[in-house]
Amino acid sequence: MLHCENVRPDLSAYLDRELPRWKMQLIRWHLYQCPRCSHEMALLQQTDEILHWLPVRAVESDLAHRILQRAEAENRKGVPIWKHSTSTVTRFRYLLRQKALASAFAICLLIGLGITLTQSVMKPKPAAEPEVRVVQVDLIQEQPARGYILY
Amino acid sequence: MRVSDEELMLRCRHGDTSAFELLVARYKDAILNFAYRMIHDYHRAEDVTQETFLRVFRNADHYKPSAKFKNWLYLIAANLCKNELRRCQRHQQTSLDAMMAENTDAWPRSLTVSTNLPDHLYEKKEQQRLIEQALTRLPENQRLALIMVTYQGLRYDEIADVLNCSVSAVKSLIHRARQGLRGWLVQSGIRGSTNASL
Ligand SMILES: [Zn+2]
Repeated sequence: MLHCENVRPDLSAYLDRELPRWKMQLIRWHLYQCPRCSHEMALLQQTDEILHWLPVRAVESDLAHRILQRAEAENRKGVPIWKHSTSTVTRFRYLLRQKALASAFAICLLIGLGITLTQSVMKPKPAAEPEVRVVQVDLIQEQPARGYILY
Repeated sequence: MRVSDEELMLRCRHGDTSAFELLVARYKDAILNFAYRMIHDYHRAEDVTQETFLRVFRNADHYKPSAKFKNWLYLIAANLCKNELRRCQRHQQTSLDAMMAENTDAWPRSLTVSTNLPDHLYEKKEQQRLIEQALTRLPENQRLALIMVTYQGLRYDEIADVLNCSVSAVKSLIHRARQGLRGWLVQSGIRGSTNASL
């Protein structure tokens, strides 16, 4: 058996049929028995009825056309999101992504350069070859001693 | 066979503009009426509607098929309505008096009732004006929840998704909104036809 204080907060949900079936049945039974909650329910129904007095606004016939035109114009331009987006978050995310890409590229470049430099520094030098001295040796031809040739 | 909104959105992501066209055709009336109930100005409601669909188009890449398209669409529209209301409040504080003095059509359009109407029509218009006025007095989230359930036919779980809160919070928002509204309708002397006196 439900008490009034438990039923009241659920009356709007009951009106909107947003309660589980078992609870709908319990509330229906309570409303049948309780004039105060039943009156409260009638007031909520009346409020809902009054809200439906507002007419549905007719949409101007060319609204869809105007939306599509604007979408197509943006599509043709191929403008990046952050340029036409009014959302600060979108702009920030876009810029962040661009910066992240640039940073990643710079890091890769630095790593590449580092590896190249390290390799060239660490490369073992070939063992030093014995120094070869080129010595010009003047061959001294012994001149035959001047003398007489005896026949 | 009716193609689901989510399927159309996926096609839209792959550059199919006819899928986008179909989504616009399906939801333009609902979004315009939703914005109109929130803002009470047809032209600004139209702007919000256009911007809502353009955001869908621009952010198609970010759409996750696991999310229900309708909820995502209402989330965008609700945020734009909130922004518009805040912008309007700031503007109103500074220049409402001047605007009303210069141009009665400026704001709020729907609150201006023509006095050249026959009596019964005038009375009807006046009642509508009072109902709209009562709606504008509700706190923002109560108004959003009430409009979504009353005019848009959204379920509580869908509203909870749009407002990013629990279903029980939505239940409470809607109940408090109806109770608050009832008080203002009593003050305005509006009565329904059902068997209970407001
Ligand atoms: Zn009771």
